[in-house]
Amino acid sequence: MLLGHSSYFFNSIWLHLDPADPLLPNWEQFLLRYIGYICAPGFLMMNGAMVWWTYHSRISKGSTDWEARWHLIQRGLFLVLVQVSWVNSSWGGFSEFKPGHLGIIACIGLSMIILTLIVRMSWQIRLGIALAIFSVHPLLLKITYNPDIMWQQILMQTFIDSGDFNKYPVLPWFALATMGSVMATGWFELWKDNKKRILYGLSIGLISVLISVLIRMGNGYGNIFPFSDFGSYSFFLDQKYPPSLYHNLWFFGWVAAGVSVVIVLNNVIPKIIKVLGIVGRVPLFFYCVHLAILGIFSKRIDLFYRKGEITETLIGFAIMLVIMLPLAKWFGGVKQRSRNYIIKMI
Amino acid sequence: MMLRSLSLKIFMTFITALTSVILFLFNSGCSTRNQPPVITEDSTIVYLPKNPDEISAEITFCRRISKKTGEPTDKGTIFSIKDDAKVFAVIYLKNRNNYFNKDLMFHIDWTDPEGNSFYKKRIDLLRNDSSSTVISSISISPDKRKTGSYYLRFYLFRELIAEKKFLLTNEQVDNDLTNSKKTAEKLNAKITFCRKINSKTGKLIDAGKIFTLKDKGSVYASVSLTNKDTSISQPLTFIADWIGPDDSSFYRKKINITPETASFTISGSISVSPAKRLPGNYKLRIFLGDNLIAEEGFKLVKQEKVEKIIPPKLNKESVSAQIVFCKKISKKTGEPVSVDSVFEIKDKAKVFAVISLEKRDTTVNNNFKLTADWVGPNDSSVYKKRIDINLTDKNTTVTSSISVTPEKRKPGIYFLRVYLSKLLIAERKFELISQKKK
Repeated sequence: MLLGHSSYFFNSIWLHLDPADPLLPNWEQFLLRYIGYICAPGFLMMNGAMVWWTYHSRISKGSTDWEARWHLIQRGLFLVLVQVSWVNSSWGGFSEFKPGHLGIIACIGLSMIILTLIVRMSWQIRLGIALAIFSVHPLLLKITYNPDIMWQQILMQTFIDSGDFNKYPVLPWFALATMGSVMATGWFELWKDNKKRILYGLSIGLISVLISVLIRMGNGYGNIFPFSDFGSYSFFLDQKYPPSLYHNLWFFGWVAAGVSVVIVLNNVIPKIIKVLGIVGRVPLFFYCVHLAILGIFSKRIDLFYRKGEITETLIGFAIMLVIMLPLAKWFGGVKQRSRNYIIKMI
Repeated sequence: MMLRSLSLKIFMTFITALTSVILFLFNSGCSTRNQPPVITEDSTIVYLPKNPDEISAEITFCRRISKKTGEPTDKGTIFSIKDDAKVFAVIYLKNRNNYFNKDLMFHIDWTDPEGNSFYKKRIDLLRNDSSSTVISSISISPDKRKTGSYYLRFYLFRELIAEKKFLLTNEQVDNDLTNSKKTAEKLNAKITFCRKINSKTGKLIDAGKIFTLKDKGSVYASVSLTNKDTSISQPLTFIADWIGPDDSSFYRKKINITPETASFTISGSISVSPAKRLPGNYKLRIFLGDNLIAEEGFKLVKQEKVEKIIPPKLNKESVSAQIVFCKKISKKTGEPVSVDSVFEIKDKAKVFAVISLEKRDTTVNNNFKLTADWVGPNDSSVYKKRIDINLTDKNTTVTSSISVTPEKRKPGIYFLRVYLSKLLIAERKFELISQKKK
């Protein structure tokens, strides 16, 4: 995410790169762009897992069903508010207040709210719901609408399609969040030890990747962009805005497998997980603050704004890490100690 | 402990598999194009496919497309911004025939001087579409475009396969550039290299194409320009571009001149000290504006490798000479007649000397001045004759003669001394006696 955003602010390719229809001059730029593709699926799946875990954790601590849900609904609403009040404007360094559209954080918030409706259901039902949405979403994309008519634009782009109002329609991303909640059932409840978590996680992930490859090779239903050959740029770069069925299954697989790798890493090199944990404790803070810093200093003050390429992007990324890690560590401590409602939400 | 060991195994297996997949992707397929790109003759930057049978593209810009032929007309890379004007890009696809059974997805992306994309178009060629040309156009009216360098980039399945730059100018600049091109077409140019140009006479010294590197040495270029059309009288700006052995420019110089006559000359020079230049093949390109009007090459060589052309030292052993005196030389045979060493002084009489030169040193091939010096009894020269000879052959014969009339000569011992480049190579005496009384 930070690498992708560093590229967005420092890399001159963004002068002409359209994220909804990406064209890339070389494999370095392809890699830089593609690395960021895993972030949104990762966020949504972790969000789904977190919703499942928080709900059940609160219930086990004695909260009522409504209290546990209400907590999650409030958090979801807070995320929508953060999106329209802070995140939208931070891209431009707060030069303009732009509450008029949604984005990834709002999508996470809305998915969280909807997920509270099904969080008590069995993992099989949730899995069925997620797969059903994955399967039906390509059909829903065929619904024609006029983006110049506001209500049509808001309705379609909030839930199904991508566009100026919202790049992250809730329906497919909610399905990914639901898949995250299903995986959480396994990680936290069904699979009792790490061995099972690793093996099942890897197996499910790789099976999903395999199914996605089959869908892609079919070049039909579930694909949005055509591709040339297996392994080419175009093979990987199917549409992200909105995500195709291939995209959803492909990244669900890699995130699921990636969690297994993290579990392994935690056993083998626990220090790395500690570093990742600094960000993992305060993801919203990390997201909002790094975006604001980049927006203010790069876009607004015009500090190397889209003047560099790969090297400049990597340097920017390293500098941002140096700035953000201590900040995230500090805020993690503040959040732990604080009883303030807003700080607890961030 | 067991879990730790198992985790490590799984982790290593996963990392190995992932690394293999990534390496496979990047080696085998991810990028299908070669880096760096090549630049074609028409300045298209082409990212050639790794497999030569795959599609590549060349881009041509033009103002119009002929309605009759469909071919581009008014081609170029410089266009003037004006109302209702357009720039067309005609993209020719190579190896299209190899992909008749496949849908192809292309993108054309036009970017402005700041690098921002202002118009992008996706073009899908379906499997039954045999087109091998893709056309796109943009308006270049003043309300939409500003002056500067624009790019068109052409992508196949999201991968850049060709790009080309064009310049949008205002009309005045465009006219100047057009005029510059026309003027260039009217000029004949010839480049001559030399060691030095005489500042007074303008004469080229040591002209050639091979020069030695030496301290404080220079190579001068004199460019003779001739107007085919004498109407050129406006100030002209030439650029002398000196190109090194690595084919890159190392010195560019602007030369401003207003030609007053149909023929005129411009010149320039570079230092050829070993500290600054390497041995190798160099070029000079002369441009008028952007138009190449002349190009010529020369070679710089190391001083020690140059065979010094030092004339072999001449000595008495180099060439031998034999002198024969006679009264006359047969006009028919060229042979001496009445050979003697004593001659009578009388009216209309002459003494001839036939000097036969034999070259003994084969390295002697130069031009020499041979001097035949006739010396009188008082040891003073009575007549000198200088003859240019070239000792290319082994034997050379020259003749000389003096009048031996009573008015001119006195009886006594005379000598003929033969010098070759001031070196006395032969001497022989003869005697003149008074006319015998009849």
